Formats: sequence, C-alpha cells, structure tokens
Amino acid sequence: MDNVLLEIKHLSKVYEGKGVNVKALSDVSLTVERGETIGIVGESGCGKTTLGRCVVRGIDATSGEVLFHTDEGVIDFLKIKGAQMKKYRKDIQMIFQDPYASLDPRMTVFDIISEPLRYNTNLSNREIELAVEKIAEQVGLNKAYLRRYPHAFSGGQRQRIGIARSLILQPKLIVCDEAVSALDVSIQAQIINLLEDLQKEYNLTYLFISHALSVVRHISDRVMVMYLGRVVEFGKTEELFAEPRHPYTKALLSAVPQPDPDILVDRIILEGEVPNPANPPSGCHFHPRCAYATERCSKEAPPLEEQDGRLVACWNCEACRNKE
Amino acid sequence: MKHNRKDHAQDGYQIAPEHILEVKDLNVHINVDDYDLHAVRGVNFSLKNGETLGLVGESGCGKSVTSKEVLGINPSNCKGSGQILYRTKSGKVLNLLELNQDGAVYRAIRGSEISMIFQEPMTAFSPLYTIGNQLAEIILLHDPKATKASARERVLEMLKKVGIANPEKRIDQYPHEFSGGMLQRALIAMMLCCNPDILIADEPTTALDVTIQAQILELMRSLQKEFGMSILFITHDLGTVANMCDNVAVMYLGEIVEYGTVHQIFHNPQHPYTKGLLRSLPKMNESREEKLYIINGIVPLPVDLPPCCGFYDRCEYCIEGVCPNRTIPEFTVEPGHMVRCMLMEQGEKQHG
Repeated sequence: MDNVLLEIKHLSKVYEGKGVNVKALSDVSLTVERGETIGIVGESGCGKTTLGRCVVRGIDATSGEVLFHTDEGVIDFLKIKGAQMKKYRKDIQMIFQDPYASLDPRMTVFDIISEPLRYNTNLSNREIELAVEKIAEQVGLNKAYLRRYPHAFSGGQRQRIGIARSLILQPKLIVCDEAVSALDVSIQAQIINLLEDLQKEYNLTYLFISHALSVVRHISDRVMVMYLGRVVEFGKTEELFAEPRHPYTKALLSAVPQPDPDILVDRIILEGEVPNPANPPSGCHFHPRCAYATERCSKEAPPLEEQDGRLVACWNCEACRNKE
Repeated sequence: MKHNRKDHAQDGYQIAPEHILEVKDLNVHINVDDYDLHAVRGVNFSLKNGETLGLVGESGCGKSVTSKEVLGINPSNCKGSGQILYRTKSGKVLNLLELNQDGAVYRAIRGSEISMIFQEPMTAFSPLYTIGNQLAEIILLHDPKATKASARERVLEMLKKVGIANPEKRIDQYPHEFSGGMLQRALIAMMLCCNPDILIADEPTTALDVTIQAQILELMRSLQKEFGMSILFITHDLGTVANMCDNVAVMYLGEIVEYGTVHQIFHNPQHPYTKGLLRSLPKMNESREEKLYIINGIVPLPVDLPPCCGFYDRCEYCIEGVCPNRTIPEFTVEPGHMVRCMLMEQGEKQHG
C-alpha cells in the first residue's frame, strides 16, 4: 500500500444565491500522505474553511473528487452512501474553531465525547465508559469532571473536549478549522503540543486550516496558500516560509508582526482589500493588489505550475524573484 | 456609588510635567452575583506625551477593565479606587475617579480628549445611521462652534486622512456597506475628529486579517506622528506590541507583573510569566522541530484572593511559603524596568 491517504482532485464549490453565484473554491487539488500535516492559510473569504467542510462532507462540493485510500481500495468519499458512508465517515473528523459554540450546552462532557461511539459502534456501556476515560486522560481532562456541562470549563478545556470527541472513533484524518485561534497564547501552546503528541501516537493526518501563519509554520509539513478560492502557492513549509515565490505569499508573510522589536521586516503593505468573491477580478484574482502585475495578469488566470518542487500560480514569478 | 458622585473634582493634584496620565494604585472590584471579583489589583503606570504604552495579557488579566476605568465607561457594578490623574487640555490635573461618570466634566473629556477604538469595528457603529452622521455627531457634541456643514467638512477631511477612498460617496453610506478594515479606518477617523490627547486602542486589529492589520497599524503610527497623541495599546498579541509600543506593561490576574521598554521586555524579560509567554509563541525564525514551551494550568478567577503572587500556582520557580503567602513588592532591574517577583530578591536573576 502506498503512503497516500487522501487525494483531492479538482474540487470546486459554488454557492448559489439570488442572481449571484459565489465561487468559493475553484479547482483545488491536493495529495495528502499518511501522518503529515498540511497547513492551509489565507485571509477571510479565501475558501480555506469551505475546503475543509467539503472534505468532511459538511457541505457538498459542486464538482471534484475526494479520493480516500482505505484498506479496501480507493473510494470517492464524496459519492459514498448508506452503510459505506457510515463505515468511512468516522475516519474523517473535524475540530472546530469556537469551543464555545461547538459543544451542546445541554449535554454533559461525557455524553458529548461518547456520542460518536454510541452512534457508530455496538460497545457496551462499560466499554464506552472506559474508552471515554482513556481518551479524556490523553487529552488532559480530569476524569472527575466528565459529568459536568461545558459551561463549567474554560476555553482551552473545551477545546480539549472537542479534540477528545474527534479522536474517540480513531479517525485517520482530522480537519482542524482554526482549532487554536480562539485561545490565549499560553493555552494555544498547550493545545498545539497536544495535537502534535496525538499525531505521533496515532499516526494522524491533519488538515490544519488557520490564518495564524506562525502557528501553521510550526505545525505543518507542507503549506498551501489560498487567495479567493484558488491555490496560489503550495510547498514544503521551510522552503515556502524561507523563500516565498508568489507575490501574495510574500506580502502575507511580511505582514505578520514578529514578537521581537529588533526584527525589522521589509514590510510589503498591500493596497486595498480582498475583493468580493461574488465578483472576483478577471485573470489572476490577485492582480489589482499586486505590485508586479502585467497586462497578461488581468486577462488570463495563471496555472498552478511546478518550479523545483513548489507549486506556484503566477505569470511573473521568475520576474519577481529577479527584481529583488 | 460612583454614579452619585458630584462634579467637585479638586484641582491641586500634581503629575510629572512630561506625563499626561498617571494611574496610581488602581483597584477595581466587580460585583458579580454574590461574589466580588477583584479585577484590577493595585495597578500603577503613567503615560508620557506622545508615548505608546502596551498593556499586554491574556483574557481576564484586567487590561480592558483598567482602560475602561480611565475612560469611565465601566458598568455600575464596577467600583474603582485609587487615583487616575489626567492633565486636561486646559492644563488642570484632575483625578478622574472623583468625577461623576455621567457628569458634564467627564463627558467633555471622554471622546474629545480621551478617545477609544474598539476591537470589533462591526459592532462599534450603529447600523441605523450613516457613517458620516455618526462621525459628525462627535464634532457637534464637543465643539459648540461647529455647524452641520462645518462638521461634514471635517468628517470628509478625516475620512481622507485615514485612507478611505472616495470619501464623498462613503460618508453617506451605512456601516454594512463597509468591510471590516474600512470600518476600523472609519472608527479611527471618528476618534480623530476631536483631536484627542490620549487614544485607548482595545485590540484594534485582532478581528482583522493580517494584511489589513498591517495597513491599520501603519496608519496608526503615521497618525500618531502627525497628531502627537499618546496611545494606550491593549492587546494579547505580542507581535503587534513589539512593533507598535515604546513601553510595555505585562498584566496577569489584575496586576502589572512586569514593566519596561519594549527592548527590556522582549530581550531581558525577568518575570516567569513574561518569559513563559514569549517562549510559548511559535516564532517565524526558529526551528520547527522544537516543542513549544508550555505554561501549565489556567488563569484562576480573582475571587477572594489572599495576598499572594497571582502566578504562583502556574510558576515553576514558585518559592513555597513565600509566593503564595504575601504581597509581592516591585523590584527594579534597571532604570525603567520593574518586576513583581520574589525571585528578584533571592538574586536568582539568571534562572531559566
């Protein structure tokens, strides 16, 4: 068996509204290997959350395939139904951003964590109890508090509950949608380390969606940068952060404030804002804000092309590297 | 009750000539249901003319309550004591805590001399009035000579100043027609309308995307140069602090645990909490292989606190029998650098 876990192929999503169609995701392809973490970054409206939701089938993709490599061969996760769906859905789980909104306030923590087991397995009550206690201990929840309700827990503790819930079915892939963004700095570090420990122990694969670039850099093996529904750059974390090639990636990285007053970044301040995805600019979506834009950029969308191991979608990439 | 205070604030307070604001031994108790939350515990700081002071800390450390106490906009179940000495534009030094929150004197200062911009620009504006209407309101309230026409002129000028394109059209639009970054610019324009001496910025860029955040911070820096105001910058984001502030006060559980210049705090942090915070951040220029440093535990609730170091139960250097049992005095590391930690007394400066 090869080491590939998931192949996303030409995934697109169009939200249809009254008279307007918003193309939230256009033609995104990605191959994910077992045990790796793919970081997906971009600003509001870039489609990163839509991508995550399409992969877990929280929303239905308009077109494309999500090929899931199982022990019994490759299946298209977006097409399976019924018993097969029930069987494989538990392999792909999700951790949400807001630990205050993603837990049912009327269920005890024990019920929240055990619900997937009661729905998906035939374990006895005693077995369920043992499983919940084991996972609670692993994510750092006190067993004594399992009968309490979510309101009695702090943000970081709630996020641990969400992680326990997503882990209890022993999934292969976890989509983390801004999983640490709502947490305080000291708590954020606790949760990041927990996610890393769990990954090692269970050989988990993460799709780590976030706008926090320093966190993504820390946790990801490969990083995908998105802008207005398209992938603009994709590559190994170290390489991409050390030498970003797409002008948008460069601007994005330079905009991150560094926690050191002596680091003077040559900050690229982008003009304007992310355009409305309902009415994206022609050609390369980034061209109205791009310092290197040429006539061609406004007419034709650049393809995502490989340049020594890196995927970049830019007509002037060589040019922008030489200009520096 | 604060609300019954009369406006007989006494003059005769003294503050250093280069200071515009001095907060002395500020304590704020919040009465929630049946218990008493000691949200701010003996905070001292001062703000120089044209200085940017960062108040940094995590949720519940009292940074927002402190700043709102300066502006007198805490709800009525908050009780402040101590002194907040402020030099008004006319040169008088007032203790803001003695003023009636709803009185004429405070209302004349608030918005006009001390202004605030909030974290959520989306909720800071009323959805029912146009942006121009809401900005002109400030001018008409604070400047008796202003007319509707002159206020509109000034609003247009300010909108231009904060980089809003096409202000003639934008001035008559409603908040929902603005994006988040544009609303934050409009909020900054609103604050500028009265040319305040102190700007309190409460997490002004936390809700914005990074590229927009970079634009807004750049704008604030250039406006500060132009107008020369002092900024009290409240945030939990240490990256922003390093880029924006002259001095930094790190708060934990209602106390300032460390105070110093931005270089002292980031290059020579002394308090275990400050060190922990800095170490627990993933950094862009460090090896990815290393695990993040963790401060164990969570921030406790400041209810019924005995005299103690607020950080003792999470601190790996906690001295048994000392830190949990007594008020921690301030120690001076070098001029301008203050730490509230017993380790300083023990001379164990080189730990960690």
